[in-house]
Amino acid sequence: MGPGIGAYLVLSVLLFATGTVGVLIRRNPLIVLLSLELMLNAANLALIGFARQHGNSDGHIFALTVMVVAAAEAVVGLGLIVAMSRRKLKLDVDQMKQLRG
Amino acid sequence: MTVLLASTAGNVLVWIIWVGAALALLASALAVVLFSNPFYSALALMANLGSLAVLYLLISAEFVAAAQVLVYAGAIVVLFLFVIAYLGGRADAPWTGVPKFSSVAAVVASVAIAVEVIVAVVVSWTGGLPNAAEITAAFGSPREIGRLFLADHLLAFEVTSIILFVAAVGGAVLGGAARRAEKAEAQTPSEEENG
Amino acid sequence: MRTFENPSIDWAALSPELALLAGSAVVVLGALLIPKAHRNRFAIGVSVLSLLGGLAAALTMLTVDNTGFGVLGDAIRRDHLAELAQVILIGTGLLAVLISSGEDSARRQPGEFYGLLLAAVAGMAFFVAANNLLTLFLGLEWFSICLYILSAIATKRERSLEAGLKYLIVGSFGSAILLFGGALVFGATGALGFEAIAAAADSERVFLVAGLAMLIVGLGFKVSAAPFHQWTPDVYEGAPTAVTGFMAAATKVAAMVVTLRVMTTAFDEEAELWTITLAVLATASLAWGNIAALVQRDLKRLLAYSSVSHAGFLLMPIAAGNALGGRALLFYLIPYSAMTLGSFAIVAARERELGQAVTLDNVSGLGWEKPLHGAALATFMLGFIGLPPTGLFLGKFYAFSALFDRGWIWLMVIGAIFTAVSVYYYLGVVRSVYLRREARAALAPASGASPRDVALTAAVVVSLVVAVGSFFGVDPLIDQIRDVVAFLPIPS
Repeated sequence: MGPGIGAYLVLSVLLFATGTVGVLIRRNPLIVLLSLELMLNAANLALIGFARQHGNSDGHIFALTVMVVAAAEAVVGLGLIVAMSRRKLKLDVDQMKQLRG
Repeated sequence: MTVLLASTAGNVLVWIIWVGAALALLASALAVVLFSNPFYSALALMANLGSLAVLYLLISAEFVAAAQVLVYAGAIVVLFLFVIAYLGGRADAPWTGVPKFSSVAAVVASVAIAVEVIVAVVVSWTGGLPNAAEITAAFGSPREIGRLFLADHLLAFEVTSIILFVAAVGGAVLGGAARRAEKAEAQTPSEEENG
Repeated sequence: MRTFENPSIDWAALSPELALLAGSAVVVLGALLIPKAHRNRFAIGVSVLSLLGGLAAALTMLTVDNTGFGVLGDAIRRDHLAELAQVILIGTGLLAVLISSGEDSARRQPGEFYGLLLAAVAGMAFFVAANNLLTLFLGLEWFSICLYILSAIATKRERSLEAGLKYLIVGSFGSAILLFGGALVFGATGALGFEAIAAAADSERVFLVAGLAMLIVGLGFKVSAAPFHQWTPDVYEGAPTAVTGFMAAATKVAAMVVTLRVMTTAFDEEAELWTITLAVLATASLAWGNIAALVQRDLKRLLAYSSVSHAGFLLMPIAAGNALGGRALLFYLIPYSAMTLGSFAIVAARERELGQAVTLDNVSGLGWEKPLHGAALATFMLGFIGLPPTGLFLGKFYAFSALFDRGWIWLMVIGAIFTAVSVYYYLGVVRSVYLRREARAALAPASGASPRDVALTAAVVVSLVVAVGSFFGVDPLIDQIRDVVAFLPIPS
């Protein structure tokens, strides 16, 4: 009767792995933020799948709150990127890794 | 509707939809991470969220699927698109000049996660997982979610509003900073007022 | 057809958070209405008032004998552990407000700055009381988002914006890992509450262990334990110094207390797994933090690596997994947070005086120019090593005793070795403070004598009092802490 929880979990883990690689590899902070969204969505998929598995709607509540948190983080992250670009700062995550003065 | 689909010979249909959505999910995820133009990446994220919504519908999470499309794809990704369009999308190729530390960490992370995937797959295919619980029609319905938000998880509900408040203050602070920076630049030749 | 019952809300349990949030709202909104000249004083006044109100609430609840119960189901837990941690957090908040009063970025936008600071303290107060995975995640995100913005709030400095963005990326990365771990634990047990997780018959132990590992990783990012600490030096250096001091002290307090609570309440059956994992993380933090601190010249970076090493020291008693370890942790946090804030206060004062980043070179002579600051900084450095008569001497002693109780002599030896290593760089700071240098004309402050910052001096004095007082006043503190730890289900 449709794929079981294992299939959803494998999808979720693959999505999480893709997001992780994106955060670690990409230098453009916009893409890094998008990859973070992928990671959070992967966790959401896992939560919804497990909620169905146990018949426990708490997973849905958790997923909805994660969406709100993702929105808040996106706002702050994008605000930071816009503020940095207005000051003509170079938008490169790896250059920021060399904050050593 | 999902119950109807499953009970008829639509079991095959469920599998077809699932495979389609899963492939779209993984393809769009790879697209988000690999495209050099952030605008295309954001569009790929929108496709990703759409396929996630389809998957949610298949596991009886109708409200969350609707919220996903309305809130996540409809508001958050649109915000991303606006900002990317405003910034003019600075393109960078993903593999140029990746510093060593990031590559090592990425490889380690990927290996760890691949191990986890293998474990998950093995566990699920050796039939170690119990069958899904029986659910009523109320599962995942707006009524149930509303009840939970206002009863069991009232604090979580209120805290999300506080998080949004904090994000709004942050947006104001950073937006004001951007405006001040612009104003300061515009007045660089003349005397700068305090701001 | 109403089938909905209004939930019962324990308002007293929420009173510290409510007091702080009320203050935050008043500060943010009031700053719009109050004329610009009075805005700063208004913001500071309201902040101090609401922090004192929250402190009163938390102290009252500490004295009332409540046996520790959940609120609204299992969302938060009202017990003495949460209330003691809230007292410490509000204390750090008060010191942070005093230190920030002279900060340029706070003067520019006092409403937003103090509003976010109060909201951060409120978030941490909520976080330490969280009793299920959902409130754990929400509390974490609540104060983390406040801190991301606060790190970036000195928008005139590029370093500050970059620090904020870096903190956001790494912090969100850690939170996402913690969230996925929480999802796996939920999947393994079907429950969100910590007690329910411990009680559930695991359907899939694989998921539970994987989830536990990811939870530890996520919390490790927050406490800057190695190898998840890479963000700490850069963010601490870039953020405004008052915010850095607050982050270094309060985030550790909150995250360590929560680690203790989560591990002992939800995962007490997996104790063999997480104790050894935390011990390994502690070793890595001690090693990496101390060795990297040896070569630092910039004082904020040095203190950042020092805080990584102290994260190692704080993880040791949690790893011991016994009640003595819990007591050691809570006792250690009190002088540690005071000394951290005091050190950053002095660095902030020097930074404002010089107008540039404080290094071991330009801090020289501080002991002669400002005897109080010099003596205080020297005391704090000696205290970080763990020498009497500061409270950390007893803190380290208790931590070692907890490990001894468990029979982990190897970790005690590692802790002792790295304490010896740390002597070099802490004494290096003390030496620099009391160095007399003739050619100081180039580093003399441009505007002559710097204005007296009474608030900052008061903060330094309070930090000194707490740091040294916790040594002499150890008995009443330990009695209170013994009472607190009794709530946790850890073996004595």
